[in-house]
Amino acid sequence: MGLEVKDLTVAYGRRTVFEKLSFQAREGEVLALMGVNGAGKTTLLKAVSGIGKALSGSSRLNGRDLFRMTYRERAKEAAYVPQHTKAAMGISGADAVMMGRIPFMKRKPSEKDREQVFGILEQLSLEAFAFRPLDQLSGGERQQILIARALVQEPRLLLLDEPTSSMDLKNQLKVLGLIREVTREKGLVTIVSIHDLNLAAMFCDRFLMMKDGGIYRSGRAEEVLTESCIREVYGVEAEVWETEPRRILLRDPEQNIPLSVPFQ
Amino acid sequence: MKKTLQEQYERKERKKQILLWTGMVGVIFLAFGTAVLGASDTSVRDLFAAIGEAVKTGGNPEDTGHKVIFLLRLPRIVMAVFAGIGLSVAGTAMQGITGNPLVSPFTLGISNAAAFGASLSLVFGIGIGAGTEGGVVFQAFLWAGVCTVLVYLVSSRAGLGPESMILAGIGLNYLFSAATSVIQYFADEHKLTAAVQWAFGSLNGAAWEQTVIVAALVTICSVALFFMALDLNAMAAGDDEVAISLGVHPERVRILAGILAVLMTAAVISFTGVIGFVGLAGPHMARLMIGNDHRYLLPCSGLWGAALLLAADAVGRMLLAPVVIPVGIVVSFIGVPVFINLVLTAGKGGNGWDWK
Repeated sequence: MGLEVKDLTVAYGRRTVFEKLSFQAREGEVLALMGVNGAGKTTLLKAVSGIGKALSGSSRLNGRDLFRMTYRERAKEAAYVPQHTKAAMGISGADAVMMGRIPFMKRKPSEKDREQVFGILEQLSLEAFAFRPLDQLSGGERQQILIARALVQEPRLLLLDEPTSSMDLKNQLKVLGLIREVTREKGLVTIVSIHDLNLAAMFCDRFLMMKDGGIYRSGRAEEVLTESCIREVYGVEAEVWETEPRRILLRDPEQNIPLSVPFQ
Repeated sequence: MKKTLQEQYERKERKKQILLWTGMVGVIFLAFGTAVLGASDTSVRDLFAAIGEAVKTGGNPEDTGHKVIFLLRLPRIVMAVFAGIGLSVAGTAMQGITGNPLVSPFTLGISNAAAFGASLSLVFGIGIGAGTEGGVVFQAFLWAGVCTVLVYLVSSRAGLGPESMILAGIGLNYLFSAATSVIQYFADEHKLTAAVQWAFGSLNGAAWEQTVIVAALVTICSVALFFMALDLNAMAAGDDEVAISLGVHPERVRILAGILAVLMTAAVISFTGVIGFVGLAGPHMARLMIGNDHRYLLPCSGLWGAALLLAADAVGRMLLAPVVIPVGIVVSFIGVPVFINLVLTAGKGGNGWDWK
C-alpha cells in the first residue's frame, strides 16, 4: 500500500512541468524530494495531493484515488504545508493550528479538536506562540505552527514543502525528528521537499532526485546520494563520507568544508 | 496552579462570548438612547410608555407623539441598526474572501453602479416607476446586481482569484463612476441636486416598508454568512492552496459569500444611498477587538456597524438641528478618529485591545 503515483503530467498553460511521472512512497517512511530550483518539487507535491490540478495520471493513497475525493474527504487523508504562506492579520497560533481541524468540524471545535490542538502545541513546545498573532512570529516559528496544523489533520499522507527552510539548526533537528517519529509511529506516507542533502540523509528513508521534468534517480541513500548523482543534478563536486549509519556530503574536497554540520 | 494552555484558550473564548453579548446590549441601549433625540422632545420614558401603550391598546394613531415615535424614530433607528450590520458584515465577508484588508463592500464597484442606476431614474426617468422612490430603489438595486454579475464574469475568465475580482471591481467602479458623471453633466440643476443628494447616503425618510425589506435581507444574508464562518477562516489561513488542503473550495466560497455580501449591501444602499466607511471600518474595529475567527468576527463587526451608524445618525440629527446632516457624511467624521486611534494603538501594543 502507501502512495502510488502513476503517469502524472502537470502543465502550466503550454509549459509542461513534468510528464508521465510515476513513483511510489511507502507507509512509515519519509521520502525526500530533491532537485535544483525550478525542478518541479513544489508542483509535484501539490499535484500528488490534488491541490494543484494534474493534466492526467492518478495518485492513489492506500488504494483510494485522491483525485476523485471531495475536498473535505481529501483533507482528512492528506495534509499539505506550503513553504510560505500569507495569513490574514490577527490569527493567533492556536487559532491557526485549530484550522487543521476544520475538515472534521461541524459548526465549532469539539472537545476532541481542542485536545488535539493543544496536545500538538505542547508536543512541539510551541506554547509561547499559542496566543501570539502569526504575523508577529518569525519565519521559522510560523513554519512550526503550520506543521502543527498539518499534524492535527491526522493525515495518512503528509506533504511538506521545504519545512525547515527558515528554521535554525536546533529547530530543524527537532521538527524533522518529530516528523520522522510520527511517520513511523502512525505509518504515514510523508514526502518532504528539501535542499539540505545532509538533513535529508539524516532524517529520510528514501530519496527522489528530480531533474529536467523527470525523476533522475530514486531509492535509498546509497543509490541517490552519490558523488556522481550530485554532480549530474547540481553540478557540484561533493565528497561523500560513509560514516555508519549515514553519509555525510561535503562540498569542495580540497578545503574540506561541509555543506552543513548535522550532528545530533 | 498554573492554567493549562487549553484552559487559557477556553477562557479567552468565553471572554469573546461575553464581549459579544455585552456589545449587543450596548447597541440596544444606544438604539433606544438615540431614538429619543430629535426636533420633537421625547424622553426615554415617553418612548417606552408609547411602545407599552401601543402593545396594550394599539395606541392612538392620531396622537403626534405616537406618530413621531412610530413613523419617524423607530423605523429610522431600526434602519440604522440593520444598515450598519449589513454593510459591516458584508465588509468582513469581502475581506475574508479576498484576503485583503483594504477591501470593502464597495470594492466590486456596486456603490457607483447603484448611484448610476439611481441617477438614471432620477435624471433621465429611465426604468420602471422612474423618478418615484420605488423606481430609484429598484434601479439602484438592479445596476448593483448587473455590476456584480459583470465582475464575476470577468474574473471567472481569470480563475476567480482575489486579485482578478478586486481588479475587475475597481475597473467597473471607474466605468460606472464615469457613466454617472455623464448623466450628472447633462442633468438640469434640480435633478442634479437630487442625484447628488442620493449619493450622500442618509437615513432620512426611512419608512417601515423599506426598513422591513432591508432588515429581512440583512438578517438572511448575515445568518447565511455566519454559517460559512469556518470556510472563511480557512480562506483567511493563507493562499487558496491552503484552503483547499483544509477541505474548502475557495472558488465556491468566493462566489457564495461574495453574492450574499453584495446582495445585502445593494439592499441597504438602494434605500439609503451610499454610506461608505462603515463597511471598511466595522470589520477592522471588530478584528482588533476580537481577533480573526469569523465565528466571533462576523457578529462583532455587525455590532460595530450598527453602533457606528446609530451614533453617526444621532450626531447628524443633533449637530445643526433642525437641519439633518446625512449619516453617510457624519459617519466618516466620527469613525475616522476612532479608527485611526485603533490602528495606531494596535501597531504599538501589537494586539489592539487585548481581548483575543
